[in-house]
Amino acid sequence: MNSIVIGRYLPGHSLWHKLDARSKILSTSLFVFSCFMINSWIFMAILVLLEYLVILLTKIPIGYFVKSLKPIFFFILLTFFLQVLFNHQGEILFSLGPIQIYDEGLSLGFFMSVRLIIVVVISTLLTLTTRPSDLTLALESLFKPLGKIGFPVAEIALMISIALRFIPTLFEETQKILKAQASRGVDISEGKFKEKVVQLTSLLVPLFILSFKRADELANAMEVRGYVPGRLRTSINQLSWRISDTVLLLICIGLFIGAIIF
Amino acid sequence: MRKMIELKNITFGYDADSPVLKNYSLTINSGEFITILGHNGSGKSTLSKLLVGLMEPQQGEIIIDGELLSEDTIPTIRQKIGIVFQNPDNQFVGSTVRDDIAFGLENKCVSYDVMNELVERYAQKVGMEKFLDSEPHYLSGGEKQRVAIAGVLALGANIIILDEATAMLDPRGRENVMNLIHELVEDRDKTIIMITHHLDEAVKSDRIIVMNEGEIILEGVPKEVFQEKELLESVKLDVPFAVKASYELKQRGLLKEVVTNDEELMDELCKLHSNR
Ligand SMILES: Nc1ncnc2c1ncn2[C@@H]1O[C@H](COP(=O)(O)OP(=O)(O)OP(=O)(O)O)[C@@H](O)[C@H]1O
Ligand SMILES: [Mg+2]
Repeated sequence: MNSIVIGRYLPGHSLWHKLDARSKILSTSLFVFSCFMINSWIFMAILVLLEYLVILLTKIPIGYFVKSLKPIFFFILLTFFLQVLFNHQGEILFSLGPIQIYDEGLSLGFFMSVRLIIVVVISTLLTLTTRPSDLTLALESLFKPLGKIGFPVAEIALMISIALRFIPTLFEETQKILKAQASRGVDISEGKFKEKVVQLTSLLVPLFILSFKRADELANAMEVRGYVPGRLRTSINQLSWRISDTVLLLICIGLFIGAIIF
Repeated sequence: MRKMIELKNITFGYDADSPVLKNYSLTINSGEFITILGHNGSGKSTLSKLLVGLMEPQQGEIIIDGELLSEDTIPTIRQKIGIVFQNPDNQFVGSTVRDDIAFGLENKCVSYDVMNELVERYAQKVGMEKFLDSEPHYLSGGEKQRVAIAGVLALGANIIILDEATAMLDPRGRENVMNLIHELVEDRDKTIIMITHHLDEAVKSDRIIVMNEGEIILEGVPKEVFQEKELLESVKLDVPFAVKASYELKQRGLLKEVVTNDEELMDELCKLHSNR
């Protein structure tokens, strides 16, 4: 359980934690967009520095972010090597048989890896420092205009919040089934690919059956507590926009405009 | 005494040719604490789902607090009746304790300030006020069930159904939840229907209803019901030790009637000893 960082929330009291979830979502999006538009190292250095400052502000140990990168580590390496090996621009730096490495390829490889890393880290930062209920409330509030054209914003927000709430439950259940099957001699981590597929069904079938049962019971519990899809509801969570939120958003808009111009 | 729940000749089956409940009638008074006992598959959960309007009987009427349960009255009746289910995880909707207690209030469009006050009051009532910001996977089963009870109380329901609410809990969680239920019983302003197959949980109830295969086979105050040890065991219910022991003593002419709990058994044994 401790190895999963994506979607987790770490309670805290920093200035960053206290920001309105809406401004965090908007700023993070602007930051990510800027990051994908720029191609100068100077601008990238500014983004890295800003991100580093925010991490310092939240007092979250760097280890958490390293962990969050693990699942996409392969992807980062792939991007890097694709650029280094197949981007034949600039001058040859090095060649060994059929392999030729060009200086721009190398530089672009690094650039893209850094880009991926800071995008993942900033997104992790958002979920680590925002309560899931605030996150869904903020999404609901940001997408409210879509409700006017009949898009079920509130329902989807509730769906997301329930999905997030059940991630640890399902994870625990998966572990339990794996153990139960292991005690019957099924070991999913061993064997050939074909065997693995067959053994995977011994995990997925019970997991699906149990999840459907859960969904059914949950729907009953929601119905008896008066939930009617599509009907107006109030919320116990409230978002409050402060001056610090406006400042953050302005900074990120500035970054974004900068990224477009340069 | 005011009638709170009336079931009149209910017949219900998941498919038409094998009814789970057959011509079932039951009346429960306001403020009563009822225990419904029965082995697996005897139709207890089916009964509770009918009472909260999750399913409709094929025949018969359900009247709750003077109102006939029907499509039109379900919303008002759901304000009066709350239910806690067996699985603590599958009824925890909110992402924190606070959110979950508030879920029903949010559906009722209660205003922010009133909602916060109610949530805090009932979190306190069930002893979960320190966990308001906790997420469900950090809570024990017993704590989740207490949150579920708080959710029902916050909605102002005057009938509470507990469908094997303690069945999936460890002994400590079970004791905590039972204590909370007994506390609610002592307040005497709620009608409480507890469904279980543990006879020892039923000792303090005003009336016990024993079900088997969709029918009521026995009904009465705990003392009376426990006299029928053989009938209870014949429908696969586990009789508490005090009942078993005193039943044997009664068979041998040493006791006049079966006692229901360990303390009474001790008393009777002491009396027997000193009379010898
Ligand atoms: N959704 C369903 N579809 C079909 N049959 C069902 C369904 N739910 C229950 N039954 C059947 O109805 C009968 C009564 O079930 P019910 O769940 O009411 O029993 P119960 O007394 O609550 O048992 P338990 O102690 O196991 O909770 C059982 O024979 C069961 O197999
Ligand atoms: Mg049941």
